[in-house]
Amino acid sequence: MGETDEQLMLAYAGGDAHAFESLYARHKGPVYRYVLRSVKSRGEAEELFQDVWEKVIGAAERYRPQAKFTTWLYTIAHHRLVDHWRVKGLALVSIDVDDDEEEARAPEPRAAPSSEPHRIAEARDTLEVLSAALAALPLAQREAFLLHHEGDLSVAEIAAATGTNEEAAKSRLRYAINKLKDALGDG
Amino acid sequence: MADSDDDLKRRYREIAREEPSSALDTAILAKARMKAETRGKLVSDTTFTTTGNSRTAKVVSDTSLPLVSGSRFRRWSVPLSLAAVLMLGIGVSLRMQFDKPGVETSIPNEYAMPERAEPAPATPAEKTAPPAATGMVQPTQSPSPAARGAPTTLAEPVFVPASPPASAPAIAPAPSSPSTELARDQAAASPAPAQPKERVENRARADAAFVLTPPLAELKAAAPATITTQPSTLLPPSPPAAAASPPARQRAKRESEADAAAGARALRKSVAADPERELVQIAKLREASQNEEADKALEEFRKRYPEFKISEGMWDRVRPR
Repeated sequence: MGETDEQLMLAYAGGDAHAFESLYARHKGPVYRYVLRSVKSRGEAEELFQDVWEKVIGAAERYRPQAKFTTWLYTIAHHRLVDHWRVKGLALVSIDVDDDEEEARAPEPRAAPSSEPHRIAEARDTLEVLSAALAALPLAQREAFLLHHEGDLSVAEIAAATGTNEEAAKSRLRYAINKLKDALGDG
Repeated sequence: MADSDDDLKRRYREIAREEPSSALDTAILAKARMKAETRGKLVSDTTFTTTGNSRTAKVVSDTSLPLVSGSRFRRWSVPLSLAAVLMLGIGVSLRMQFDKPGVETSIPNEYAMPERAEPAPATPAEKTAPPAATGMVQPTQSPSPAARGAPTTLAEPVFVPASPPASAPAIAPAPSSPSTELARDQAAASPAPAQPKERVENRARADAAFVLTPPLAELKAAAPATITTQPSTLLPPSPPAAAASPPARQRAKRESEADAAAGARALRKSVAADPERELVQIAKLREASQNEEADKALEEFRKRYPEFKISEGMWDRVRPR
């Protein structure tokens, strides 16, 4: 077992560039997919992904291992996404409101046509169905799902990263999983 | 439920294959490496301690710490500079004190007199000079009767008013240059048609010593550069060399020149330093009823210090009458 994320980050803060390489290799894929599935555009995703890691690099000196590194990392990514959504004019309120209210709301704007429901129905392949179902999830639920499956965060850590309470995070995750199961026909 | 969750996770893993482009990786890693290099220079100390099973890194990263390469220079630059300045100051002071005792002090030169002059050998010319004809009595080995009670060195000059002119100024007014002053004094004080040269030099030396006293020093500030003029060159031709022995005369001349130069320096310093003192001297002139000199001195003071505000009390003492 190699060094933990926190040790690597502290080593990088001390000037060890190789520590950052290890850290980056561990987390670049999950962070990239988290960002990519949140914006649905590869160009935007790459830009946001680079921003996130630049923030990590810049904040390394201030990093203190008070929580898991992944929680800190995905918090940075979440904040960057929120800024992005705000610029795009997307409703952020869906992240913070209760899921019952969220269900009653009109569908959120989607970045890609593949997220439209009729595309889901047209999907022949299961993986495509899953991908389309994931894209069709509301932002908050999709984010909770991605943080759980990509970032390997617990409910509490999802709540910490997204700035909400555990109940809301748990609810969002539950809704997301149920919807995806339904889409796959496992529900 | 758990099985379906695992199945969902497995299926998701199958679609989750996207990775950032290698160009993006390169850019990010290059940025991280560059930042790490910068940071590595600033980190002065990195220690690792072992706590239980986990290795905890304690990083001391203080950007306020100096760079390692420049720390030694920065640490010693200020003390070395101070030491150098101190040594230089002490050296200059000692040198000045050695060369000209009293010159290095900033105290007005009331008490700082030129070096003690070696008494010149008595000459016939000195013996024959009328004592009352001089304002300053220059002590010699064979002093004149009027000067017998006077101190024996230039360090303590005694000003004796010249006998004929009761109105002769004890302190020469500033506007007149030393040359005219000397000539006038010479004409007024010398009943003899031709003064022996030794006597003239002694007088010049006495004048040079006297300019160190604040009153004259301040009043002569209007033309400080002329003070170093050699008095002997302004005087009538001296008698033949037989009047005094040449070595003694040359030595006296050199001393006179040195005294005059020192006096001029002290004069410039004291006058430039303190207008208040000059006012006090003008007030003393008023008290001595030497109003004409006081007026001239006051005029000169006004020229030199046009913006100096004279206090009420002082103005009462110095104002024209």
